[in-house]
Parts: sequence; structure tokens; C-alpha cells
Amino acid sequence: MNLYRLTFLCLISLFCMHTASLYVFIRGFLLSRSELGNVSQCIVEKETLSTDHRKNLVTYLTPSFKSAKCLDPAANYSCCPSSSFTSVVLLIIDGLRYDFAVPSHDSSQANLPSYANKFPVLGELLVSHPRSAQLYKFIADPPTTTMQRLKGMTTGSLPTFVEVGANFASSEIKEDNIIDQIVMSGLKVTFMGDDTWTGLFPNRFHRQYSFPSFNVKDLHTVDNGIIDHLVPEIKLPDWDVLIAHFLGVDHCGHRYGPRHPSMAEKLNQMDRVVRSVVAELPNDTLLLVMGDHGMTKTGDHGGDSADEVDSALFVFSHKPFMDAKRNQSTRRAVSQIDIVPTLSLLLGLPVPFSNLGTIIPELFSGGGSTPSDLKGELSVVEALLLNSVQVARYLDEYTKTNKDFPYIKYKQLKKQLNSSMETWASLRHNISAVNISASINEVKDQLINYLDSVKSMSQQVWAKFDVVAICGGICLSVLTIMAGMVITRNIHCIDMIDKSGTTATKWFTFSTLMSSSMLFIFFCILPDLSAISVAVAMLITVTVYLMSQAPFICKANLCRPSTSMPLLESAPLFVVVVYSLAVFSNSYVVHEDSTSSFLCQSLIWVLFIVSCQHQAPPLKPKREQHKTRPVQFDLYNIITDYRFVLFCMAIGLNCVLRFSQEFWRCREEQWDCELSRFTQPLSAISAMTVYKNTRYFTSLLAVCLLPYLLRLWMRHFGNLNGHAISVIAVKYALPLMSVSVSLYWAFTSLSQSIIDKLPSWQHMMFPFLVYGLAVCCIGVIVISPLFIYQPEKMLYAEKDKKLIPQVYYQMNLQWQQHMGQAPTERHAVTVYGLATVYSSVVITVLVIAAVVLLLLLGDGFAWGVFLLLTSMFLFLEMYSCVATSQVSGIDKVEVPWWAVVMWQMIAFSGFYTTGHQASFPTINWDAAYTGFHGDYVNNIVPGILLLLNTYASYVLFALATPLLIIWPFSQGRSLAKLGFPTAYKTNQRDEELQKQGEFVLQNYDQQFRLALNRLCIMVVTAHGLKVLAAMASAGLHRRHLMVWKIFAPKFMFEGVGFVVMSATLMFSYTLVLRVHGALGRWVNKLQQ
Amino acid sequence: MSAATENTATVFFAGISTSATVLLLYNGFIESLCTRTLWLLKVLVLFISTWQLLSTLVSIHFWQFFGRANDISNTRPKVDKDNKREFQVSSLYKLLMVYAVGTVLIYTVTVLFGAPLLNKQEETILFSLLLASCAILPGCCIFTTNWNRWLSVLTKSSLDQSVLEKSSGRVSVCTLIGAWLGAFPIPLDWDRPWQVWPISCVIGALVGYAMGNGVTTIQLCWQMLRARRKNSRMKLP
Repeated sequence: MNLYRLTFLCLISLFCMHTASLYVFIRGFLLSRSELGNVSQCIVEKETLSTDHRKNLVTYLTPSFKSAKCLDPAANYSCCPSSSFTSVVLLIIDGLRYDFAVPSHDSSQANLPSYANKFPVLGELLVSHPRSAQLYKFIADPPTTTMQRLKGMTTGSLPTFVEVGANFASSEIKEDNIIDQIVMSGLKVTFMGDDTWTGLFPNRFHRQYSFPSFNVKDLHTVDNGIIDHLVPEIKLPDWDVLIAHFLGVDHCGHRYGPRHPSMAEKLNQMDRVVRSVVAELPNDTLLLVMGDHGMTKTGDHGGDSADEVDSALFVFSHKPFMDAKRNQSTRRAVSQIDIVPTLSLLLGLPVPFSNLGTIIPELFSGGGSTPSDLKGELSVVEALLLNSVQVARYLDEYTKTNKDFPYIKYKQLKKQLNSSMETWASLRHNISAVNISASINEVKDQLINYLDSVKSMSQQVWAKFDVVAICGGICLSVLTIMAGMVITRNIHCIDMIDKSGTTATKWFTFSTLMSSSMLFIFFCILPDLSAISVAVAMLITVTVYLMSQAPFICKANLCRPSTSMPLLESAPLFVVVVYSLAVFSNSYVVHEDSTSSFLCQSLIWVLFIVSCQHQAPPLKPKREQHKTRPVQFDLYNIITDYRFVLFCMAIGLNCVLRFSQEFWRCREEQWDCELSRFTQPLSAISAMTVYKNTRYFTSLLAVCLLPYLLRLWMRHFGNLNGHAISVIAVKYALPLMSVSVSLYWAFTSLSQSIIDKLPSWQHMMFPFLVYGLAVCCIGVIVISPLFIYQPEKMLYAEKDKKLIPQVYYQMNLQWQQHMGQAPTERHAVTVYGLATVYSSVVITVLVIAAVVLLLLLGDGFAWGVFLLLTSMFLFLEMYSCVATSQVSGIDKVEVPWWAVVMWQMIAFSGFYTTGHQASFPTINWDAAYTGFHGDYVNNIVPGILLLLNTYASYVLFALATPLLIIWPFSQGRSLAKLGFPTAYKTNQRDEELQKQGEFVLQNYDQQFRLALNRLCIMVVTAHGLKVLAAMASAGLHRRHLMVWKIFAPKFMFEGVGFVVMSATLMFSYTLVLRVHGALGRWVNKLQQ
Repeated sequence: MSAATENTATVFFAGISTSATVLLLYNGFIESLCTRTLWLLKVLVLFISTWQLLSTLVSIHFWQFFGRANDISNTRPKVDKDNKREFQVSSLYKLLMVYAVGTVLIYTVTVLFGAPLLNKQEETILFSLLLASCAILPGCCIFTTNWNRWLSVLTKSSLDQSVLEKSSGRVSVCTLIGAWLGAFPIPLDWDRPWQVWPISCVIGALVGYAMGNGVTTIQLCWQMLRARRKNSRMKLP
């Protein structure tokens, strides 16, 4: 097995190992709570009750008050209260923030945001029906995504992080939930609205009208569909529970943000809906109007800020159900899961088994007219008791199978419940006591306290981590990175030798590969053996590693590459260490945009200073200085100085990085961040026409400049000659793509009402044109990857009318005649574009990708992407400038670590330039609908679009990675055109290589392939290091307050980004190899 | 003789700079910097620039101010011709020009590194003035427009540097690194008043300045002590 194959194998195995470590870590880190299959039933067999509870049941729940069902000791306690309402109408308004619903009494209308007081019906009902209307602040548990909320609001359970990703692929709920309880008790449920429900509860509904929820741009389909069916349905007799889920408010928030006028319109529409429902509401029916979550100032949700968590709950019935004493002005906050026991007990159903919510007490007071009505108080306590016993039973059952809850705390809670039961029992004996009301209140408070502490305990405990798997993942990742380092250090591309012997690398690779696959298999098949398997795998790897490294360690001093630039080696190392450590601090994660940019700029200056240390003489000789009058200051000498050029490039690169700050999106933790204008879509900017036009046309300039510059460059180096199919693609398809992109931007800047009226093919035309052309172009380039042109052999004298060749031809002819030779017809082969044969392909693919990404990112980021490409170009120039001046000849093929580190750092800071942050609310969901109007069959296409949008920078930099090898050789460098700098030690061979341009790489086939493998391994390792840091910080901070908000999203973004980057890198790698192969075949053909 | 006087002057001034900066940082300076940032920065800039200018000029031209010009040719380490040291008014003009250019450069780089461009302009300008006074003013005095010497000091590439050159190079590198490290605590959520731009960077720069001067002082003292001991030992027999 030769070295090239071996390193290729290393590359693949490293990639697999990184992925495996991610998988293992995720399995440990994103574990959810175990779901119990138990279902609350009205008849509970005695065995399932613990003795304590049975005693409790018999002793304490036997009648002390006049609830008929509970008189029967055989009846189950879960079903004791008679139902207060026969039917329920549940209106869920997605994204109904608390301040949308609450009436605002601020007199100054001017200060009010546009959404205030647009839902007046609630306030009016509160005033007109003080005993049968109530408004609560409805606190959701984060993550505030719709599916998690629905799960919480039906099962009463606390959410765990793992299901967030499945928001759009909702799966059936298997736990006991209120819908199942309703259906089991024979009541009929009618559902209309968001089709997430039908995914969660398939085949439960008596009648359903579901509408697709995925298309955020569509504000009206779901709502209008519900409005058409809602009132007629209420008039029908055959429903007991009616659920309607409106999506318009949420979509409006996503699309325009809460302050847009269309939000006011939407809220008014909801107002009208509630009015019509109230008018038709039967007498003993309960109406609940609630939101599932709120939204941030930008209309997003998913996190746990107050704006996202606070929603509203409005309760109304024509039948009074509350005490008159309640003060309407103070609004209590209730938790979202509280709706589960409340609704169950109000309907007379058992509380779902795994519920952790508390009932809302005032809804159970029965509507007594006087405050001192004991009956109401008693039924409240009864309901609370039922609720507590259910929760206690759940805790018992859960503790039987899992050890999540701390035992002491569990015992303490049990004792707490028992004591309040005893109080209740003592109360039962002297019901006629004087201070009965106070005692009842005491029991009530105790029970509420109990339920609260259970809830807070489970909130603390719930995220259950598998520490073994977490450590396994981290260790695996460390091993992989070590492997990458060892491999890159041992491969020496130039001499084609593996310094410590091929065997060491081979053994190490195989051992790590083997142990990782072993780990993988153990985790998949035998989860119980995880600890042992981790230990065994680690042991094997480390042993084999030490064995294989023994000769290497002995020769360590010999093998150490002599670095001529210690600062250039140590500064990137320092930056890498700092950058990795920064992930462990929440502040640095929040401000990572500035951090990465800052470190990047520092590295650029280090590079500048270090390269100044090595003075390379300028190629062009200094002007002869007059000996009589020495010239002190010569502009020519300064401008042509290598250091001055480097200085200009460093300043330029710094400027580019600084300008890109304008495109940063704010994450909510950055409290002093100003919202960048570029992050808003054009359609959201309604007021400022001038700004809108300016922005559109400047963006247009950027998107037109890309293909134009490419064309200029390629034409200059002769890559655009001839009529090859790939040349035609670049010449015509690429401009067409940018025209389509710009037209699509114009299309999206139309106002929503106009867009909605247009047929869907108009939505799809331009994006599909871009996608199609991009796929065609890349396909064509893969098929014929050489942008070279070999003109037909022809006689200059006859065909070519150009002057110089004719002169040459004539001179040649005369010379030959003069020498007495017969004129020959033999010409040298003329080929255009050979000096940029590799880079032309890579850059073309890069520009195609950039145009597609521009389509997805929107017009605001046109200059952001342009800046990204500029920084890439400047860095390549700077790198090749330094490389050509330090290293001579083919040695440049070996890319040093510092270049890879800086390259990756620029890519990381580019993530923020494209308007992203490592937090879930900032994901740009709009990208998933570019060209697809809503309804997807599967999630693959929108997923890919979303990934491309989010990781635009990683994709671009991964595509351009081979340029790190190619560029120092390329004639396409702008500095190469200017003629400097030359190699450190100029000799004949170097000059020859310089003239050949990139064609050199073809001659050094093995070295090039090896260097390419080495570069890919380095890039994967460098990125893997960042993933490792994020992984370790997430693992370490798993009990941190901010884990779900900062560290876990950071890790997930990094992990997914790594996979995207690696996939793109593999594509780029194959593409370059394809060019290499095709060029080789071409040369062979020519030689024959 | 002159090299010795230069050494003595360098040690003397570096020692004073170190102790003054340490005293300044020790004595409730940070609190007042947080409350009266602009005023204190102005004072600092004025003070440090004057001090650096005076001390460097005095140490360079010590021999010129105090006579004994004849000793110079024998004892001074050999330096290239451009580096001749005679105090002229025109060189003062050059010095100020270089200083101004350096300040503008530092300002640009500071803004490029992420300092706010539109607000806090005065702070940023004062910060760059301070940095220029600490880091490049000695260099301005010594090298003026000799760019090659400048680069060689910044990159430590040439070996034939006098003590003063070495010390000024060390002080500038230390100051710049200190200011750079001073930016690190800015994003942290500790809510301390000194985390505000540019206070932490100013403190970092001052600490770096003190450290650079301190290292110079200690090193030179050590050398001089050793030299004296050697001398006395040589004299004894």
C-alpha cells in the first residue's frame, strides 16, 4: 500500500471517527427523560397502588364533603370530581404574546406599539363578566417551539432538549395525554388548524380540518380555513371538545416582526373570531383562548427570554365559575402545563399519568356567590388532592424504573404530602370548626407548595446525561485529533517518506479506526456495556499508539521539523488554545463574532511582522542610487518593497474583517447590540423607499460583479477560449444565474399582499432557474473539467492576420533559409490557460456556489458574501506571498499549520458575516422556502437549503481549500503578475517552475496528491478541534444555567457545521483530483 | 564611557517609569479611571509623552548635553551611518512627524480591531495617543525616519542593537501586547466599570509598559553589578 492510498484511508477514517465521536457524545448529552407507558384510569387495581397511597385514599378521601362519587370507596380517586363543564372550546393562537392580549390602559396612544389593544374582546369580557372570565399570564417551558409546547400542553410533562430538532417532523405522542383521556372516556374531539396536531395525535379526532403549517410566509391559509369551519362546527351537536389552532400571528411574527401593521390586522382578525365564538358558545361550555409561546422583538421564538416564554391564557364561560372576590386587576401567572390537570378535572377525567402541572385553583371554586362558601373551597382542595396524588403516583412509578430523582429529596416530598394529608384528615373530623376556612386554606397552600416543589425538582433533574457516553465522545474526539496531528506531522510530502516509518501511522490509524468502530457498535447494539466498551477501546488505542510511537518518540528530536519562524508557529497555537478555551465561557460564546474576528486580525498582524523578519529582496532591482546624492526617500522602492505590499494586504484584510461586522446578526444575549439593517429582508422595510432602492441596487452590483470578475480573470489567463461546453457554461449560464438571483430579490421585495396573489410558478421560476443552472454548470465542469484551449495547428502566413505572429513566422522562415534548412511545418503546441488550469475550475465552482448562496441568503448579504470572497483572496495572496518568499520550488506544496489555522479562523468569522449566530432563534427559516412554495413531501430539500444558508461560509471556504496548495504556484496571483516576490533563493529551476504556473503540479503528481490529502486531514483536524472544544464545554457545563441557551446550541451548530464542511471538502477534493486526472490524460494524449 | 552613561541613563529612567507606573496602578487609579476617563487619559497622555520624550532624548544625547563628546567614537558600539546621533532641531520636527503618523496608524489599527468608530471617538483617539507615547515615542526619538531600523527592532531581527534600542523595543512590544491582552475581558459579563472600552486596554498597556521597563531595569542592574564585580575582581590582584 503506498503512502498516497494510506493517507487517503487516514482521511476517510478521520472523518468517520469525528462523526462517530459526535454521535456518541450526542447519545449521552441529548438524552431525554424516559417516557412511561402508564395510563391513568378510572378503575385502578389495588396492586398498582403503593400501600401508602391506598391508605391515604381510604382514610382521607372518604367523604368529608358532599361529592357523591367519592362516597363510594370502590371508585377511583382520579375521577372524583363531577365535571363542571360538559364541553370545551380550545382556541390556540400560535405566538400570542402576553402583551398582545392584555388590554393596555396607557392613555397616550402615540407611545403604544402597533399591536397594543388590538385584541379588545378579552378586556371587554373581563369587565362585563367578572365571575366567568379570567386572564392569566401563561408561562411556557423553553424550548418555545410549537411542537414542544403542544406536547407539554397535552401530557403535562416537562420538555427535554432532544425533541427540538423534530419540530417539523412531528411524531405521535406515546405518553398518556389529555386527548387520549378525552377519547377514552367517549367524548368526541373535533380539531381544526395546524397539522402538527394530526401528526401528534393521528386517528384521535372525531372530525379534523388540518392545514399545512410549514410555510411561514403564508399568513392566511390556516386561519381562513379555521374561520370557515369554526362557527358552523360549534352549532353542530356532536362534539365535546373543539380545538382550533391558529397560525397567522406566529407566521406574521416570523415574517414581519411584531411591530408591523399586519400584526395589528392579524390580531384584529383573531378578535373577531373570539367574538363570534363567544356569541355562539353554549351555556355550560368552557372557552379557553391561549397562546403556545410568545415571540422576541424580531418575531422569532425558541429560546427562553421573557418575551418568548410569556403567553396569555384567557378563560371564559357563560356560566359563572369563580368567586366574586377575585380581584380582576391582579393577573396571576400560571405555568403552561397547568392546563392539563385543570382541563382534565374540569371535564371529570383522570389526570394524565405523567402530568406535573398544578390545577388553577380559582377555576374550581364553583361559582359560589359569597366568598365564605365552603363548598367552593372544599372542591378546590379536593381537586388539588387528586392532582397531588396523581403526581405522587407518577413519581413512585418513575423512581421504580429510573434513578433520576435524588432519593433524599424524593423522601422529603413524600413526607410533605403525607403531612398535608394528615392535616386534611384531622380537618375532616371537625368540619364544623370555627376556623375551618383558615385550615382549608392551609391545606391548600401545603398542597400547592408540594406540587411546586415536585415541579422544580424535576426541572432540575430532568436533563439526564449519560456521563459515560459524554466522556466517550470527548475521548474519541481527542484521539481523532491526536491521530490527525500525528499523521500530518509524519507525512512529508516532498521526500515522499513517512518520517517515523509508515508502519507507525498505519498501526495507529487502524487501531483508532478499529476501536472507534468498536465503540460505535457497542453503543448501538449493547448500550448496557457502554462503560466497559469505552474503557476497552481506549485501552487498546492507547496501547497500540504507544507501541507504534515508540520508535517515533526515540527519534523525536530528529524528526522535529526545523521551523525557521517560531513566532509563526507559536502564535497560531496560542490563538487556537485561546479560541478553544473561549468556548467554555458563556460570555465569549455570546460574543464569539467579535472574538473570532479579533483573533483573526491579530494573526494577520503576526503574519505580517513575521514575514517582515525575513527580508526578501524585491525582484526588480533597486534603482541605482547616485553616489553623490543619496536618495533618502524613494517612493518607487517603497511601493515595490515586499513588506509594503504585505502591509497593504494586511490592512486590506483587516478592513474586510472590520466591514463584515456590519452584517452580524444580534443574538438576544448581546444586550447592547444594534440590529443590523442588512439582516432584515427587503419586504420588511416598508417605510424607507430610498434605502430600499439603494440597497437593492448596490446588492445587484455585488451579484453582477462576481461573474464579471471571474470572467475577466479567466479571460486574462486564457481559460475562456474555445467552445468547450464548460466554457460556454461559464460565459452564459453564470451571468444568467446572477440575473435570476437579482430578479428573485426584486420579486421578494414586493409587499406580501401582491406576492400572495401571484401564481406559484412565478414564485418558483427564478430560484429553479438558479438551481437548475448551478447543477448543470457543476455537472458540465465535472464532465469536462479542463478550461484549456488548444488552437488548431495552422499556418500563420495564411490564416492568422495578427502582426506579431506573422513577423515571427517570417523571421523564422528567413532564419531557416539562411541556415540552409528546408522550412518545416512543425510548430510548438500552443495551449491557452495551462498556468491556471486547477485554480480556474476551483474558482468557477466557488463563484457558482456563491451565487446560489446569495439566492438563499437574500440581498442583504450580497456584500457580506463578497467580503468573504475578498478576504479569501487577500489571504491567499498574503499566504502565497509569504510562501514563495520563504520556500522554494515544489516545497510550497506542503501547506504549513499556521496557514490552515488562519484559513479556518477566517471561515469561522465568516459564519457571522453571513448573518448567523449559534442560537436557534436566529436560524433563517426563510431560506427553506426559496423556490418552494410551502408544501414539502419530505424534509430533505428544505434541510439542505437551510444548511447551505446557515453554513454558507464553511461551504465556500471548504470549496476553496485546495487553493491553499494551488495558489502559490498559480500564475493567477495578482502579485505574480506584478513580478514579486521571488523565491528566497532564486535559481534557474525555480524560475522555470514559476513560468510553468500550476502545470508544475501535474509534473509532481505524487507530491500533489499527498499534499492534497495532508491538507484535507489538517483542515478536518482543525475544524474537529473546534467541535471538540464546543463538545467539551457542553459536556462540562451540562448543569450550567445557560446550557440549553448557549452551550448546547453552540455545540450543535459546530457539530452540524463540521459535517457540512467535511462533505463540501470531500466534494472539492474529488473535483481537484478529477481535474488532475483529466489533465494527466490530456498530457498523455499530447505526448503520443 | 558613553555606553556606560547611556546604560546608566536607561536604567535610571526605566526604573523611574516602572516604579511610577506600578505606584499609579496600585493607588486607586483604576477607580478614578472609570469615573473620570477622559480627563485622566488626557493627563496620562500628556505626562507619559513628555516623560518619554525627555527621558529618551536625555539618554541619547546625554553625552552631548554634558560634554565629553570626544569619548564617543571609541566606546560606542558600531552602528550604521544613518544612525548618527546629534541633537538637531530638524530631527525634532521629523520625530514629531513620525509620532503623528504612528498615532494615526495605531488609531486605524485600533478601529480595525473593533473599537467603535462613531461613538467614543475621543476615548479611542486618546487611547491611541497613549499607546503611541508608550510604545513608539522612544523609537521615534531614536530612529526617526530610519524605517529599516524600525522594522529590525519590531521584529528583533538584527543583533547589533544598543541597550537603549533594545529597551525601547522591548517596552513597545510589551505595551502593545499588554493593550492587546487588555481587550480580552471586555466581552465578559462581570459588569465591572473597568471592562468598558478603553479602560481595560489602557490598564493592559500600562501594565505592559511597567513590565517592559521593569525587565530592562532588572536586566541592566544585573549586568552592571556583574560588570562592577568583574572590574573589582580584576583590580584586586
